[in-house]
Amino acid sequence: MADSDQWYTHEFPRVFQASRSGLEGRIASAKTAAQPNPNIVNELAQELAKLNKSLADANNKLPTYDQRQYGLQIKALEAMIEELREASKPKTKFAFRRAAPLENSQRPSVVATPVKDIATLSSNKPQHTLLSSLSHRYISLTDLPTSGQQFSELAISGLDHCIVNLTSSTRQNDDIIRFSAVHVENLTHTVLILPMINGSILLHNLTSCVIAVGCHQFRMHDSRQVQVYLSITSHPVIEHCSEIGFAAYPDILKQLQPMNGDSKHLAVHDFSHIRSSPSPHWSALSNDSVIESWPMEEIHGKEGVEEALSALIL
Amino acid sequence: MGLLTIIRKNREKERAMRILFLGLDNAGKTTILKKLNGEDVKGVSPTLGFNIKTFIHGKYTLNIWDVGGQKTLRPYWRNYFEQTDAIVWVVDSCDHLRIQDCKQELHALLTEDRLAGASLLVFANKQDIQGAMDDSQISEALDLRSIRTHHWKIWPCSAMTGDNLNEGLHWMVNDVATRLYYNTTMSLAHAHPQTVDES
Ligand SMILES: Nc1nc2c(ncn2[C@@H]2O[C@H](COP(=O)(O)OP(=O)(O)OP(=O)(O)O)[C@@H](O)[C@H]2O)c(=O)[nH]1
Ligand SMILES: [Mg+2]
Repeated sequence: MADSDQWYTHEFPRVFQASRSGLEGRIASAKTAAQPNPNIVNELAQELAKLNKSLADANNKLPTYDQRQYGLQIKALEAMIEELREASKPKTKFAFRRAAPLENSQRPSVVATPVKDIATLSSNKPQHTLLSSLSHRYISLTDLPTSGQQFSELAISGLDHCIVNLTSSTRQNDDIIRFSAVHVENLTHTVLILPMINGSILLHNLTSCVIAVGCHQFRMHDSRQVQVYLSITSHPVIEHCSEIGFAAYPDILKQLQPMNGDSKHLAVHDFSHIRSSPSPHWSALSNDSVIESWPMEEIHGKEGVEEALSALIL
Repeated sequence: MGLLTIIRKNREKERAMRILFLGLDNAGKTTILKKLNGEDVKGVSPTLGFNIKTFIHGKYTLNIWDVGGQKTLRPYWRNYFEQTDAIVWVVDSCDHLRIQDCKQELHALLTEDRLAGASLLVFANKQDIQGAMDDSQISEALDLRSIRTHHWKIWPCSAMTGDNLNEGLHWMVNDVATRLYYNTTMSLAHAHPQTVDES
């Protein structure tokens, strides 16, 4: 048995872990700076490249499991350095104005009952609002209960061939529902037009959809062929997605719902592609492919909805 | 002076605790820490990697690791387990759709050897939102009562209003302190087996 094999089984793990934890510590301390020094970031990246090379050299001499673990650890470090690099870039300033002041700082006494059966368009204050299992329909705010919930949660699940328009164009302005948290899953061939959300939106498993929303945070997982029209003040995130197009939130909707100026809708972070090369999973929508006429008026009947959808979704 | 006494003395001098903030993405981990630190909570982006925050809480220094909860990052959580004194598990109480995922991730975490002995603080966050599940509903959904391996406590809270954030941390710090600093050296050895991890 060659000496070098011995070295790999006994020494390599120690040397590797020592370098790894050293690097991790240095990344951590670089991170405490308000704006990390780009030179340090480069140094760290070089160190990591060396570590990565030593792992590549050890190829076949390490147990498969260990090798995979080390690979994952390297990937984690890569992500951290990438984030550091992002933070080291000069920042564009933006001021975030709140759409409405939170007037009520007391914690509401929540006596909600768990949602048992998935009822269509069901909501009882303060139970959570759920839109689910619908197809070939135009759904607007008037379909939601008028309980005047101020800061509420909305879940949308299992829609096919629907147009959902929850902007106030379909309701009196003095009766605006303000959403603070929106969770969406399992949509196909659906157009979702949402107003400014005073919080985050989370979307899972969408196929062939169009989403327009203003929010503080946007996360989309496991989705394909989605056009996203966003007004956002943080980095939009996608994960396990493909064929996603991003564009600015349409002006026509902005007139209905005043928005903040700066938007980061093209500063997308693809968590499935944490590298410096551009992500193959999303792109900016070109000017000639953005939707210009939005279905803001209520449409009745299955055929009407289908026809409208075919003009919006390829 | 025995080895354990030395370890204990050092610990006592530092009075430092290593705290891990975990939970699904969108739970509000980063926002809670910003709020506790008196920073602006708007404009927080989802965490790509991790953040470290240091707080002084009473006579203790808390070194808090806030790790991103997006699915692709969860396999890396394990890189942060070593020497953890307490886990803060943050839950988005409005996320009815993913509460089962949340339960599974939590219970998987608690089987980790390297986290054995760590205190568990569960924050049922976003209580300011109408339609949020309350702490007893979260407790039930996550099956907290079945947890025997860790000291745990759940607190309803809001990163927006700041309600209960300090109270929750306070419980956690006391729980860890009781274990680390006031107990006999024997139970210290039990709470923190000095394992050498070569992998
Ligand atoms: N209304 C309300 N919104 C909250 C609260 N806590 C967090 N949020 C919002 O929830 C979203 C997610 O918050 P983050 O702090 O980024 O969540 P995180 O757990 O750090 O997420 P990852 O970094 O992806 O793991 C943001 O839009 C926050 O503004 C809360 O108590 N109330
Ligand atoms: Mg975060």
